[in-house]
Amino acid sequence: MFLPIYYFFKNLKTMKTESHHKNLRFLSRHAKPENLPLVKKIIKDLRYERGKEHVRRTGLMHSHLSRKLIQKYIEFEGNQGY
Amino acid sequence: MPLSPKSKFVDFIERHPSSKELNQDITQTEVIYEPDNPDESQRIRIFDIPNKSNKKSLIKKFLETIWVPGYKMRGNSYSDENFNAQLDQTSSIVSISAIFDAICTAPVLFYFTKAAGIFSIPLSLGYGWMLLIMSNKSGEFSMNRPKGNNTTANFLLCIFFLLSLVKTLVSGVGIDLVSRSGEIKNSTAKEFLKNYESKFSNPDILYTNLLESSTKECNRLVVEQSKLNPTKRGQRKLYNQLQEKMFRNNSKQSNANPKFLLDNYLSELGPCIKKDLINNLNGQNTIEKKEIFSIQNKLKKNTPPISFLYIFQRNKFNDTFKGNPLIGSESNFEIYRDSFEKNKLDFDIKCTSKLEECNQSVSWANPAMAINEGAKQFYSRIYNKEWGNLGLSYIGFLISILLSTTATILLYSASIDIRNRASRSSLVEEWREEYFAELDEEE
Repeated sequence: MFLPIYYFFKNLKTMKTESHHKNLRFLSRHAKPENLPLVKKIIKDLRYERGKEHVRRTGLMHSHLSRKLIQKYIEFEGNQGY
Repeated sequence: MPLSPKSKFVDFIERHPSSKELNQDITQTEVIYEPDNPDESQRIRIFDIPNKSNKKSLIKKFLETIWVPGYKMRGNSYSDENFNAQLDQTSSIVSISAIFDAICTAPVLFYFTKAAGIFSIPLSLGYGWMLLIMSNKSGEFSMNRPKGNNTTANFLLCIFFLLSLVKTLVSGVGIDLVSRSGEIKNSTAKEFLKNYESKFSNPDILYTNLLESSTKECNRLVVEQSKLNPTKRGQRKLYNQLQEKMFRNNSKQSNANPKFLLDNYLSELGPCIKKDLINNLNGQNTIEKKEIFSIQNKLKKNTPPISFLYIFQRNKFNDTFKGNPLIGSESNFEIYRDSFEKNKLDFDIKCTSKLEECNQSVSWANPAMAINEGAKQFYSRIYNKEWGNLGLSYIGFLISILLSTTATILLYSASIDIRNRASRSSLVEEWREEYFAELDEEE
């Protein structure tokens, strides 16, 4: 009678808490030193790609780009003859 | 070592306050980390990137309809720090102006929607919010001013200014309706009482005119008669004729009440007899009337006009107001009841409305009248240059004018800025994409 109960509990195992899933903040502090440049590169690439979307969406841009664009636009308007 | 353009760009994204959420998304990005994987490209694999920075909460969207953010005033092709700061200032003034007007016009909208009963507050808030959105959006859209085609932008700027102007015109009235609510009601009551007072203080106005004309005619005949000598036979006949004319009484009711004679046989009476009858009548009434006038004057001085109207002209009061201005003080007036009732004058201190209304302080029966009276009194004070009586409403009115004018000027000056046109130019957008393509090629 107790045999099915014994086998039932025998099959129950503790949950595996260790996971391969980490976030980049954690990795930038706790990754192995040889992997840190890799973490930094991923962050930079992500920042670049998401940054482009952010600029397209909000129109915010760094002074280098804004100066370049406005100069070009002033020249363009000047050539329009308004 | 100088930074490459791509690094500069990434550095900007990392440091700029507007990219705070984006940076949070990046650092919260989940990856699959296999530190000992021999393949370097497989050691860190992106699993999930959060996207909080792209999402705008409903509350934020709602708040942006009230407080317009500066970036909404421009396009997304171009911007710089200086221009953003200028737009932030402009949008702040536009928003402050709209919010200030919304607050000042709220009482007017509340009275306007009062017929809706319990829904009047949400309805008036809804109307106020819609007006605020209309004003903010017209200001926002008026910024779209392409070079050489200003018609739409000018039209929208005019709409913004006109909306602000209308709200400005109502703002002083709105403040008055809140800060001088009781005074407006009393002034309205005072206006109604003007006719009543003139009628009451001159109750014998018909007889007064009659007395004047009769006395004049009687005196004329007396002078004419005094020139004649009745002892002389030739003049005696004329003397008697004048005497008869002066004291003629063909009513055949010599013992009747003077008032009855004056009202029914006026044409049958000679001028001197008319004068005597009126003086006789006035002599009878004088004592009682003096007493009642003094009581009424005392009440007029010591009670607010609205209470006075309630007591002496209940129908007029009920046409305009509801509630009971005498709550708890009815007994103070009870002592005068007999004097007025004896003289057949209206004196009503008893509340005959519903019990609930009798225990309420005075409010307007017709809310539209509150707005009309508020506007009439506010603008008549401005017209009569009664600056001292304007108080808070005048300050609010001036602030509203200043804010609306400043907002319109700032909108216009920001809209003609070349940076505003650049921010909306598809060509600039194209150049920006070319720049990104250059960065993409960079390692």
